[in-house]
Amino acid sequence: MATGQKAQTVSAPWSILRPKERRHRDLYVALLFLAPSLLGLFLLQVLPIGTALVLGVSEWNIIDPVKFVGLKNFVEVATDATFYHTLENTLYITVGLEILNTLLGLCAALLLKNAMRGIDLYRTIYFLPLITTWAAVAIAWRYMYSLEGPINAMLGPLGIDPIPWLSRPEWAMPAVIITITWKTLSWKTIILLAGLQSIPNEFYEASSIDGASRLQQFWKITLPLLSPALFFALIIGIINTLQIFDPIFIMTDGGPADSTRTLSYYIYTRGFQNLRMGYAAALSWVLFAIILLFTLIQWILQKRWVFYQ
Amino acid sequence: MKLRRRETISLQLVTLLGAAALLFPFLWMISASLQTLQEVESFPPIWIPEVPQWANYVDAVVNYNIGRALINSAVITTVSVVGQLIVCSLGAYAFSRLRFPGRDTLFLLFLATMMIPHYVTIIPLYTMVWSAGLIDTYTALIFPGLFSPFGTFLLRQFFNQIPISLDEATLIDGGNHWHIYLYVIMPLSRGGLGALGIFSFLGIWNTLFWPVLVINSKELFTLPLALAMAQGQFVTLIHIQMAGSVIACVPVIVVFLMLQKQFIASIALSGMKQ
Repeated sequence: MATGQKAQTVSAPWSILRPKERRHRDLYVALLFLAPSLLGLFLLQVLPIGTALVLGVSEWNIIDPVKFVGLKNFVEVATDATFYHTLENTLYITVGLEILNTLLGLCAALLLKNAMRGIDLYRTIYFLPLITTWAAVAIAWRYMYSLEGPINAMLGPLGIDPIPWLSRPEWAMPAVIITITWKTLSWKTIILLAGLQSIPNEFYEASSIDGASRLQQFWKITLPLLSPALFFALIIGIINTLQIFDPIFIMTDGGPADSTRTLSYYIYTRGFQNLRMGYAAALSWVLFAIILLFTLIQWILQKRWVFYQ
Repeated sequence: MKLRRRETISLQLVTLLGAAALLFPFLWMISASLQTLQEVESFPPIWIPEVPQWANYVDAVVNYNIGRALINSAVITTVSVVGQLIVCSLGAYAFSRLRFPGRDTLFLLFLATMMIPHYVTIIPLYTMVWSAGLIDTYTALIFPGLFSPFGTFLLRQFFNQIPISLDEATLIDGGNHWHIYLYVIMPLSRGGLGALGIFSFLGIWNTLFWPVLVINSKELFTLPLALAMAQGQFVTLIHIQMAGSVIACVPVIVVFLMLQKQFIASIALSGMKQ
């Protein structure tokens, strides 16, 4: 990031005024300015992460004392059928969401890029789902999905029989994916819109003089130059999807028949419904490892498709 | 790119269709919140209520705990956002303007904690809150919102754009770092503070997971928690629940309309948070 690099070279001017006293004077001032942050970092990050390491190799149900059990939790994860099932669900929701979100987010970005009448209003509308409260909109979606709800009522005239969206295992995950897409696609749009706006207009002008069609321009100019933004949105998007909670809590509670229980929701179930804190902590480290793995794989693969100017 | 007239019209049409699809759940929410129970349960669904039942909102606020939850959410969010802005701006000032041994290492540690998923820290955080006897308190709801490594990082980026010569001028005039922070950096960083402000506002106002864990009693429910818990309790009262949902969304939309530019700019800048 350009500003980040700039910061490295910024040197405090008072260092010129008082060269010898500089380090110490700043250190004490810095401690004062940083004191609340350091306290927060310790209480909200360092201590919890350390505790999570300990919990991962322990057994604890909150009431009895913590018991050290070594790698037992991780061995249990490796043979836990529900864990593998939630892993499949996680893969399903992640792939489904990434495809839908990227395609629709890109379409929305291409639409919102144009200077048309009412564009500011359109942008606001497109961003509304992203900012509103998950709990509120997920409840609305839950009712919209009901057998006699508005979605089935609209599908009826198209000749589609009422779909048991949230009550059948094969429909619940698609329903959840559709809702999360509605809620989060404009996050992709914002990133991709910024990417689109940074492509110089001359590229399009020059290529159209050379007789390139719209479609050719899209494949040869827009897509390659947008690839860094696509890559970035893909990485962060997957990290966010892997940690989804609210819509599943409200709409399905992991059901029916565990069909929407993702790994993150499984952590919640084990930790806070079954009070197996140690096992939940071990699962959370597995989630962390999966996030790292996903990110690493994409980082390696990016050489093949991401084009940096 | 110059567009032909026909293209412009079809583009506008597609954009309009997309907007309608995205707006539909909100419209349905509002419509359902103004219907009678009989109307909201009828099939085929009634799209526009015959007589808008504004009393549903009064009912939700007075009889179904939404009023209390609204106050709780407002208090918790205000305290957390103001606190987070203060804590993060002080920290960001140190990273942006002061030189001390280990500064870059410490900053790297701040960034590194952003990579750790929420799920890793939330279990220990819960056990800490539990051990401290803070379950079911405002403190448990507020203190995790007071600090954010992301916020420190974001504000540092904004602070770094302010010319250092302004610091020098303040120092020459006999000011100290506190003066620079308060009278130079903060007033010049309204954009950054607005960006972090809306991020943390949305994050804290909308959060459900943490309140689900640490709050049991109805008196302390935040709005998302009250809405989620109403699911089981008043499962048939769709119209009341939808009134509650509208009430939860309105403040978010108002704040978003005020700070939309900062919000979009900082997502594009940092890409964090969904």
